[in-house]
Amino acid sequence: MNPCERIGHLIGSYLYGDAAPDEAHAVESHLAICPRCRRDVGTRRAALAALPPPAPTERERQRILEAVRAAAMGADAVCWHATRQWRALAIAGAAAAAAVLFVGGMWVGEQRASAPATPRATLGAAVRAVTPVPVVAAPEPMHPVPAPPKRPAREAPPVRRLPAPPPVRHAAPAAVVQAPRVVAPVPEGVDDIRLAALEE
Amino acid sequence: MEDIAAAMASQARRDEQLVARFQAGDARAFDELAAIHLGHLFALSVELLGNRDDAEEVTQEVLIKLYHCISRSRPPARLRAWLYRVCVNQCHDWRRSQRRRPVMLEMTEGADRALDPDPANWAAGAALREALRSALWELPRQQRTAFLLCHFAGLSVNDIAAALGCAPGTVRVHLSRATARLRDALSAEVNVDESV
Repeated sequence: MNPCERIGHLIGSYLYGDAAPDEAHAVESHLAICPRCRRDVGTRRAALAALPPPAPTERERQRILEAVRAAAMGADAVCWHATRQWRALAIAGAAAAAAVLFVGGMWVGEQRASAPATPRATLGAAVRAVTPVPVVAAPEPMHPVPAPPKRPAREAPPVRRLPAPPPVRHAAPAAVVQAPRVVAPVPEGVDDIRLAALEE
Repeated sequence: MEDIAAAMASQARRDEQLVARFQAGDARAFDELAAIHLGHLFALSVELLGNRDDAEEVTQEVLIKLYHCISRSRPPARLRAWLYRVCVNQCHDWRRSQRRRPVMLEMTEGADRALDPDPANWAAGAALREALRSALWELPRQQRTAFLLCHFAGLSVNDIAAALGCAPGTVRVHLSRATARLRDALSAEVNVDESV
């Protein structure tokens, strides 16, 4: 490797002032004696000078900084924001549950207040009145169908009536459920003795 | 030359001080840190993506990642290398997600005017820049990225090596080849003063 090639690998960092001191000294020593490399470095330096970095406009700069600030504030507030969201959700859920209970209670109260004294009969009638009864109309035949021959009407069989059940006797529950107490026979004369003791 | 090396070291120290201030509770320290790196990150993203709007989005995301990084854990040992590696990776991910090839961004007239206040030089300056940037776009990706990190982000060779995951010697070779390519492009356009 000739001196020009060896120096050539260092010229890039030399141009940016990032060569080690001994490397920079070697480059400068070589440039002092080599017009070709001197021309090379001069051309590279001019090219770099003609290549300015694309700078952001003031508007772009402000937009970037504002976006970064907003994101940073969002990152700081994320924990607080999450806590706040959960708290708001809990409050909203409790309020919704309370509202449902209140409205339901009001509705039940109104239903009870408007119900008549015989609720079963009236409620059943009301339900039947409200519930639509599906009426299915028989489709009319497209062709007239001959009526079937009439059979002689049979007499209805006599209705067998069951004998009326015997009246239910309501026995005294204590007599049915409770076992009869076994009372020890009191010997004659005991009551007289007790009465005599009380009288005394 | 020592001045440039000293400047790089002082930039690294300044970054560390700002991170320490931010972690101690000074929220404005992050604004300062973001303002320092915003321009470099944007320039790098524009050159890697070829689109200013995409570069704006990527710069935002990289700075947000920087915020999360230094607010939740210890900062990386080489913060600048970490930051620009994140930027390079973010640009590659962005390109993959957008499923489009980067195209060279043409400089607008306003940008030319900002670079050279003399209207007589706008056309020549614009032509030269376009030639140089075209040469830059023809470089291999790793070589081009190394050059952009050095030229637009001001990273040292060691930081570029850490950012790209290669040896410092490789970075030096990348830089030399990239500048040689630019030299050839410039030689084709204009005559250059030979004095060093």
